[in-house]
Amino acid sequence: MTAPHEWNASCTRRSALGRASVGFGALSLDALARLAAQQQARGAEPAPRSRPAPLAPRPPHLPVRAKRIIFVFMEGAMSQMDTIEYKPRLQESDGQPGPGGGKLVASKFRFAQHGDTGTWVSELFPHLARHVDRFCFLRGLHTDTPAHPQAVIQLHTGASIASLTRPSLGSWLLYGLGTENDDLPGYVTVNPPANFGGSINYGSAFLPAHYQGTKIDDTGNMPNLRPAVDRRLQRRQLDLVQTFNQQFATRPGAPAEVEAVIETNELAYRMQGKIPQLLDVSREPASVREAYGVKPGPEGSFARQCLMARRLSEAGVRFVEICQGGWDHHSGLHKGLIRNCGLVDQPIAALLDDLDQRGLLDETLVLFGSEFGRQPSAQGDDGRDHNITGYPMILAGAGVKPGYNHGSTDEFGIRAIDGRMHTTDLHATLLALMGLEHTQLTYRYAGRDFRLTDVAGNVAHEIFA
Amino acid sequence: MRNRHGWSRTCAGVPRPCFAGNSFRQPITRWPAQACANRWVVLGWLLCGLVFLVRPPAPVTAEEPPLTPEETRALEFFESQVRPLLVDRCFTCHSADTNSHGGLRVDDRQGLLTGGGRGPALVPGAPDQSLLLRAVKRTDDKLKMPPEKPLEESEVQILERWIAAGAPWTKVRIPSSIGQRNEEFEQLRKEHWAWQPLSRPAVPDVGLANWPLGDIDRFLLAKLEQRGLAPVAEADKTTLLRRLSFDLTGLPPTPEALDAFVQDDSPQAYERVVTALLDSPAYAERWARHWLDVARYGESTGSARNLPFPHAWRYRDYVIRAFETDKPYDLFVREQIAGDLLPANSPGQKAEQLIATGFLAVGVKDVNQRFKVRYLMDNVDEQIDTVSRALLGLTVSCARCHDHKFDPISLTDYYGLAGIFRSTDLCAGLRNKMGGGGLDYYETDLLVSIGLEDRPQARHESVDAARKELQAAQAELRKVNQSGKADEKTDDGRTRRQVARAQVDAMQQKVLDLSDPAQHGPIALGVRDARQVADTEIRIRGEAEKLGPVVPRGVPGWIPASREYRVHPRQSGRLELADWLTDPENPLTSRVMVNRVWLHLFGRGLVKTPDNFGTTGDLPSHPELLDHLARQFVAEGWSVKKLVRQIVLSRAYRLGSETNSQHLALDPDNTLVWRHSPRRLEAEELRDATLAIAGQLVPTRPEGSPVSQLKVIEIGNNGAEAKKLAEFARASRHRSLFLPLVRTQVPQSLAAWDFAEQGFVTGSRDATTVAPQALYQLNDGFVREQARALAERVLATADEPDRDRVVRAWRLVLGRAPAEVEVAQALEYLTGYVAALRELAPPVPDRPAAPLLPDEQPPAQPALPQLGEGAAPQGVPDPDRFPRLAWDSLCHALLSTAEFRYLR
Repeated sequence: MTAPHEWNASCTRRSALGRASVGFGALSLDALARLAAQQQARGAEPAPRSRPAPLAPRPPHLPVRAKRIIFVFMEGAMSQMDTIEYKPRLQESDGQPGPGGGKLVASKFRFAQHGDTGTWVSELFPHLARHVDRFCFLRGLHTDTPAHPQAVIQLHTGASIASLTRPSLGSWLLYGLGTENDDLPGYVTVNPPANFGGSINYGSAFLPAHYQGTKIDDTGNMPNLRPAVDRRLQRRQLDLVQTFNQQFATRPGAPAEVEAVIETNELAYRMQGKIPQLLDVSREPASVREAYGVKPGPEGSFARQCLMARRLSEAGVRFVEICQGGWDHHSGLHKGLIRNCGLVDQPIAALLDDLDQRGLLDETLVLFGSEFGRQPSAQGDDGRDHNITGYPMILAGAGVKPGYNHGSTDEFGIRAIDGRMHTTDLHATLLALMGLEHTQLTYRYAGRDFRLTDVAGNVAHEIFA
Repeated sequence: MRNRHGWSRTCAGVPRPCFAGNSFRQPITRWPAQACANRWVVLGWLLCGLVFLVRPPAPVTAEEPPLTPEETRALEFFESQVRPLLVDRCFTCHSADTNSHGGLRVDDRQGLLTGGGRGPALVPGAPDQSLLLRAVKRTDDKLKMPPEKPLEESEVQILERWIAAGAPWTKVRIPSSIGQRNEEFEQLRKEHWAWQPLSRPAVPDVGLANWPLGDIDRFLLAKLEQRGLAPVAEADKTTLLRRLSFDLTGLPPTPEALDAFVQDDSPQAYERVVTALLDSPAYAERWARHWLDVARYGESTGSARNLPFPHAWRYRDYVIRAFETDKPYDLFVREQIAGDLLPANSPGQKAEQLIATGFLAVGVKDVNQRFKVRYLMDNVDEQIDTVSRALLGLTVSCARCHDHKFDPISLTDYYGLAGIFRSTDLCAGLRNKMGGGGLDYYETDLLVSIGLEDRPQARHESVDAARKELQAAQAELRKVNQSGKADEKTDDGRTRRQVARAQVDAMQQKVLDLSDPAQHGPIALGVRDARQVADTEIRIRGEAEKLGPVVPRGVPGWIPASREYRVHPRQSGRLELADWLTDPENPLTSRVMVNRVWLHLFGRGLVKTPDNFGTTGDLPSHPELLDHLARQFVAEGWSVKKLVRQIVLSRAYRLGSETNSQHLALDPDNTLVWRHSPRRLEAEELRDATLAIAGQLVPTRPEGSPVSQLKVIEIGNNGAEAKKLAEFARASRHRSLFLPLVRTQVPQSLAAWDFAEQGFVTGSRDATTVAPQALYQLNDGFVREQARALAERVLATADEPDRDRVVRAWRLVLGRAPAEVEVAQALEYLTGYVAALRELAPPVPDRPAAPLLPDEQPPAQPALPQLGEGAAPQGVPDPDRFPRLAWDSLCHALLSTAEFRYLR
């Protein structure tokens, strides 16, 4: 008994389609069985399936090291200088002029060593600090544009130039590998940033719409997912529609796609039942919800997202992205970090524990980080400006070396000097971990073969477990 | 470190073939290898020891004379003294990798020459005229740089000496391949079919002499007969009229029109219907939308910061008028490329021609771009891409960074066109700015006033006074931001920054109220010739700042034309470009358009890749037919309507869609047109037809667009404006092409059904089949609302037998009478549905009313969906309404059938 859902203003062509983009590869057995029975009753031969299902699982190019990715996106550029990038030289040089200009400012947060690896983490991340021995740090990242919109789009699609929107990373994964579940979208983004490209960041651009990300808000809502009427009435109606469709399919000259229409109708019906259950974190035991720190309202948004991410990933969603914004601390760095780190620390740590306890961390790769980093120098009294020349991200779980550091920045943390990885190298590496060779994952559009990594991309083999 | 100037910019933007392997990246260096202006085009600072000099205007050549010893010394001075100084003292705030305060970058000579908000920072040879020197000398109260620690006197002298010497700057190497003759290209230019002159094919003889109704049929049948395939029978009249009606107008035929057509046995019946449909306003609306797909029409910039185009709708309406009056296609093209340069007989015609140039302006733009030169070159590229793919079927943008990898399009061809567009002001009302807010991106100097109903402009003095106030407010905002107290709350609860920002916004608005031409008369987006017109330089690897040799602006001379086109030395060259595009001997323009029209009537083009006729595109299935039609198109005055008419009057167009295994085995894709391929209705057709069937469609054309009400301020995806637009779209009952089409915020009724990708030329749309479409159709409020309206219409006559009502519903939705079995199924459904409602309704009707049905207000929903399979109804509707609910549901079901969605 639900009413029409208001159209969420952030819907776009791609997101609307992608809200539950599941292909007709995922067959409705009932519908097909009915269709086959009818055809047999008329003495007709079942029509051969004329085209490959766009989302059917496809063989990987390379050994599969990770089956799924959860991308924990800290939108706005988290200050690495105050959290996970410990620079003794910086801590000693508070107030000194920096090598690139400006005045260096030491972190006001205490750093300590953790785990067998003795990895330095600041007091802002007490829970994440427990996991340092799992972490594979990429410390030499760099990207092209020190502005959020372009950098966010580049992180998600490989490029940020306006004149041609590219497919997002998750779309490429789906295109390359297909889905591994029948009733769910293969690519879900929870609470994505409204701006900075908005739906471009989970769109499929020129890839077919099957591959776009499905957007879900942080309470687990998706437009048009709730049945408009009682489901028994809806089933009755859908049965009538399907009967007509089956009759239409057998008429001479009927379009071949009718079969796909029949299948997607069944799939949509099943999704209405399955997805709300899957996204309903209240179904988790209280102990689990407590571990994540789930609570209602905006304060609990990120914890809910983490729990939804586990549930989606566990159900076989290949690429799940969750997002916490508000890291753009040009001012108010101190309080802002305390607040933001407080929102994400426990939930992410709980997610890692939970995945581990369920044996999922061996198959799931968790990626944690921002579109770029921040400077060791001061901006105003209590802020740090953008840094695209050297910043870290963290990988954990399937396929990567635990307790490993790849790359580094200079002694102040300004520039990546070693193990340098451009955004494109990160993409090439993520694809490789998922079993895809980035130079082979191409799609022909407008007369050329496109890649996520365009003409670049080096895989950081060193980090492979 | 310097890779931002490497591959990622060069190949990220445009569909261009880049298979060059992994590394364009340069080694890590302390300083970038930077660009240089013409006078000091020098190479080799980092990359090699060879050094050359080119003086402008340079011929296109790689042969560059070596530097004189004096020039070498000047460069050594630059590298040892000047560059380190700039790096140490200026880069933090003014370089590509960090910031561009004031819009200025000093890590690039071009950046200094272009300057920031205050104008050029550097005048080579004239230290006293160079803003850079004034700033470091701190003689100007408003401009003291660096802000904190002044330069030493010796450092100032270094800069002064450098500028006096002409500000030499080292440059990266110009690849020796630039401008070289490419043998492979010569060959391709001779061989590939698309750019060969139009042939004059003889109309072939056919065996089935009675079958063809015209030449189109003869060409098609000849090929079918060669393959031993006979065309299937013609479609029945109801199928045919439904097809024709949607193809020509995007709307279904009414039951009355169907009856009239079926009953009209005269031989002219079909032709009469064709004429009537072509003359209807709906024809123009349907075919204008096809062109808007090609023109990548959108009402905002899209991209990282989405700013509205409040005046784009004028271009939309122009396109509708063009199809309505059957404007000759050559004129249509000429107006869109160079309308501002064409003579006009009346103010109305002048305005029309100015609006037409909106074609060049409505594309995606990345306004959040720090460097103007990149913003300009990206826009030029967007224009080249659109013009070349839309009109020529060529991917010219592939040659932005290097010669095209597959087609014989050279860098010189690209920069010849780029010179034309660089000499053109793009008037989209926007400027670039990094991290701007409010109205920062709005540029009132870049708008096209179409010169009608002008109201008096404000006096200059009052505008100047307002500008001063604005500057003061901006200065205050900067001060607050730098004070470190920006986040402190003031008495009214806002932060200091918010207060200062609000003041800037208010002052900006005041300036605009006085100076914005949009407040004083009608405005359009479009283009005009720039004050300075000039040839432009090749950009090394497509990087805006890295200048190579100058290329004369002009059109690719290797594509056939009836004469040579040389650009007017004092004009942009768009007029000549327009002339060349519509030259009767230019074989691409007519072929591409004929193919587009064919595609919309047969579901696919004679060339399957409508926007790419190059070597990576498809070969024409019927090259002779294509040339025959193209030649005729040109000869008969480029009339699109005539062409459409000719095609739909062919017998081939009227074929049924039946298949048989023999035909399927030989030609499964129906390339040879032995039947009519079914197609899914497009997004607009689905929405418009749903409205029309429900009796809700408002057929008049609304004026303007709700986007015209928006200020040029970023539209957030979740913001109030986006919501308003969505609500507007949801409530609109006008045809879909009038819905607001802000990029990334396409109304859901269109977005669900593979709406055109507004980012680039879309010659043919996708037709995916995905589950969200089913969810939309099952649950969306709009669909269910229309289903209810349809039920109302079906039930309009009281005391009619349900059987008759079922027949009416079928005729309205599917354009045919139901079969007996379908009537029975429908009646059974109605009865069963009412019974189910009775069963579901709880016996005691005293619980709070919550909807069993969709049209009532929803109760507050819990945060998470709780409705599962078999959930009990939460409320009780009136049992008397059960039969009506059953009809609603039946109508909804009919609108959700595949038969409604597909055209046979």
